[in-house]
Amino acid sequence: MTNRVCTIWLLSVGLLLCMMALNGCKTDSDDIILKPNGKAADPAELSAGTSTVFMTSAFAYDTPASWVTGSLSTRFYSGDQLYDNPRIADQNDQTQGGLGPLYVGFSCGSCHKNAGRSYPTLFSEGGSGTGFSGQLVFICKQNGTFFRQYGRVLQDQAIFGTKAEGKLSVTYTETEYKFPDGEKYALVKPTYKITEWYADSIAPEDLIIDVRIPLRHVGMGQIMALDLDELKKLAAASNYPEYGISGKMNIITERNKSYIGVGGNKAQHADLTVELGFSSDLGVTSDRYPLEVGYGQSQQLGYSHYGIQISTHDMEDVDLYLSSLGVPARRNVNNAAVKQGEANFYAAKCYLCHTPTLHTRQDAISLLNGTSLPWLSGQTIHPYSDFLLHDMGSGLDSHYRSGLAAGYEWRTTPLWGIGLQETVNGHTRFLHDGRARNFTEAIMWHDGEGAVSRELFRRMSKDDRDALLTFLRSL
Amino acid sequence: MKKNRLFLVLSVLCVGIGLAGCDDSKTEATEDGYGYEFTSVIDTYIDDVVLNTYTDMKDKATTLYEAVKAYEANPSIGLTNVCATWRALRIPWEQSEGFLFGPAALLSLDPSLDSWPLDKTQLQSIIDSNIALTKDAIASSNVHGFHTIEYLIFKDGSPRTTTLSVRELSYLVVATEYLRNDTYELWANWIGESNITDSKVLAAFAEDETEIKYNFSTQFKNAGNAGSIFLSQSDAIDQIIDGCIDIASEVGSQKIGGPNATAKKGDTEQAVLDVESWYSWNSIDDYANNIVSIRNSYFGGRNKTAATANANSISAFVKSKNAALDTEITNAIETTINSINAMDHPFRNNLTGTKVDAAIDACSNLETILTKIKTLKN
Repeated sequence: MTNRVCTIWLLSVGLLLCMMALNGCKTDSDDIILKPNGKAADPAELSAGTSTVFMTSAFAYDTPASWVTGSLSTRFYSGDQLYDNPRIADQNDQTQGGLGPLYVGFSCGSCHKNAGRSYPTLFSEGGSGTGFSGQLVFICKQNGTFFRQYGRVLQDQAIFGTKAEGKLSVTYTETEYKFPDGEKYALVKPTYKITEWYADSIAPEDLIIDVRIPLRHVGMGQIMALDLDELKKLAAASNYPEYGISGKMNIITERNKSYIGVGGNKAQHADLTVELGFSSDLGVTSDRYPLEVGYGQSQQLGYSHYGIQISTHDMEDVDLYLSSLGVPARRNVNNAAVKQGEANFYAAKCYLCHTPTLHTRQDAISLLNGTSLPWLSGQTIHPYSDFLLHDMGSGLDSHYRSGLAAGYEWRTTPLWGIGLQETVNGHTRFLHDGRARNFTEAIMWHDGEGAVSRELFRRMSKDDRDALLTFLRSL
Repeated sequence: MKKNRLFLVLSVLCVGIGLAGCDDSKTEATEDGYGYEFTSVIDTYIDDVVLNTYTDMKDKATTLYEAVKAYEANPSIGLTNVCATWRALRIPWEQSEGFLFGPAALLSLDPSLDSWPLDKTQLQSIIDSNIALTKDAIASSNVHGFHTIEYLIFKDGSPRTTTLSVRELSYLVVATEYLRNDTYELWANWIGESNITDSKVLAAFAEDETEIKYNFSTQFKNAGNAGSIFLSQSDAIDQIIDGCIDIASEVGSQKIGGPNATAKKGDTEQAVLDVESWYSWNSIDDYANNIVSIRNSYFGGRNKTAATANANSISAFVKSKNAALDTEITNAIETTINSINAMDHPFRNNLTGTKVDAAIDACSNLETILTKIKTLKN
């Protein structure tokens, strides 16, 4: 978490200018952004304009953008600490405390290590973890309403002396398939089960379970700064009957106001959910969510009077930290295999939903306590997402609705930074519940509106499939 | 559109220079590497820095556990030796924080070993209860690691003189065993399961049914080859450099800078609570050893200096490309260590002042200077 950024080296700048004068070159952009070695970045490398960071290491997601300096830097590192440090169970401590009594993780960073996607306990422990869980478990009745005694999320951890709401376990069935050229792959389908219910046990046939592994916190500020008019146009244009593709926006309503959802697997959030995360994931109350998540449960009575456990200022520091993180530059953009893979990405029509280029709006975004971040505005960005909902088919149907999103509809996952996930977090688990163990499996799970792309990929030669994967690793 | 002023200046200059005859050619598809054969540098870093540090840590964790067991058998001997072995173990751990990537991060061993702040509320609740004190029990409440043990054995920077209760003693024993096994796991995931011969480690793993997931050394040593997460040796070198930059930043902006900023706002009580290792008053040693971690990484061996630098080190590489930068880095490392050691002891009682400001500035400067290594890329 450091200011290791695209430092501007004046000497190199001078050299660059001389070279440009001699060679008479121009760039695609009116801004020249220099890499650490003093060379001008290729526009294709600039994932997020001036917020791009040139990093390939385990800290690639967890580095501030170059414009984070001075007092902004102080608040960035304060937010970083609040994000990473575990909350403790002292319910009166507004600075470090308030954990639980029910929770999922003990810090944001416990699930989002280095602002990425920690290896979920779903895989390391087969479900709920010991002490924290690396995934969220959404539950509801078959008719979509929530269970009164459990709410929206199953808090499967609790501080000492309190009982967790339940424990998740998973089993998998594996099916093997072949590409036309004979290469084998397999898909694993999870079956989830909840046991050790805090209160009334719920029969599996009455229950919908939707498990989500952590999202990579890449480009969060840019997502909040998206030009929503551009998204509306994209939604209107996202109608390709020849490929079975038709994206739509998720519209969410909070406090009688409607918002375009852009965050979360279902585009179910219009903000970075810092307040919701502290409340629902950590059990830390705030002005916006003053009640403990288990409020109303008989075992929670002793915890109802502690009041606010994190200040709005502190939460805004976390908001600022997330919004100010740099987005890793693409690597090897001119490598022949990467170029071929990029062509294959287009040939397979992936780009129709994984939109390569979008823009942030012109006006500055405001954080949750009113701080303005003008640096995110007016940027050309390469998220590889249209941030719209698409039918992904019955295989990925969790049956859990979220706003306008049906169980089978999912937001197009932004692919920026995805090629570094293994370096940052040590694994290549993809899709909402991590069932895909690598890029190939993730692609082969595409169905519904993604079926044509999946089929085009399936019919490619092995060399072409491999090239497409090489392209994904360059993102 | 908000633009960086320099970018704007550049744009104007580009127009002014005159752009005729453009062929729109892009940069050649070469990687932005250092153009240097790093095999020996990486081997030295892994063997002489990382494995040396983690082996030392493993052995000192065994020593700490034995000291705690000796105290358990005869509490009348007091906690002096336990505290000394805790401080001794703290040295390699803090000297490993320049490489808080790989197993420390991927297996969440860093938070397991060194979680801060300490959850005293749950610790006391568990001690006051009658549950069986097992490794599973303390794992489910996340109250374990260095600072749990520190809290139980130190008082105001010295070995605690009051006798531990039966429950406290039981907790100390199980928490020390837990920490010892974490250090074993950390070490083992760097050397790989097939290379483990230490019988104490093997016994602990058998008891806990621990599975070793990685041989992370090979990720570095095979950098640029199939199977490594590092696409090139330059990427592996960048990981080492970024690890050093990361800890320089954390020491300056968070470990020292965090309590300093809180104290400057007038909330001294909270500022003290933010200081890591304040029960033992070991904070300044911790911070200095973090920078020693950078020094070891840079000079290619533990306790190496510019005068004794390994010929196969990042320092040697930098020197071959830009001797002045090597000198600048060398001086920045020494200045930072000296500035931290010059702060008044204990840090918890001296959170502000010119000496603290100097240490914070030195860390920030070191971070900036280390970043310059990346200017040596092609």
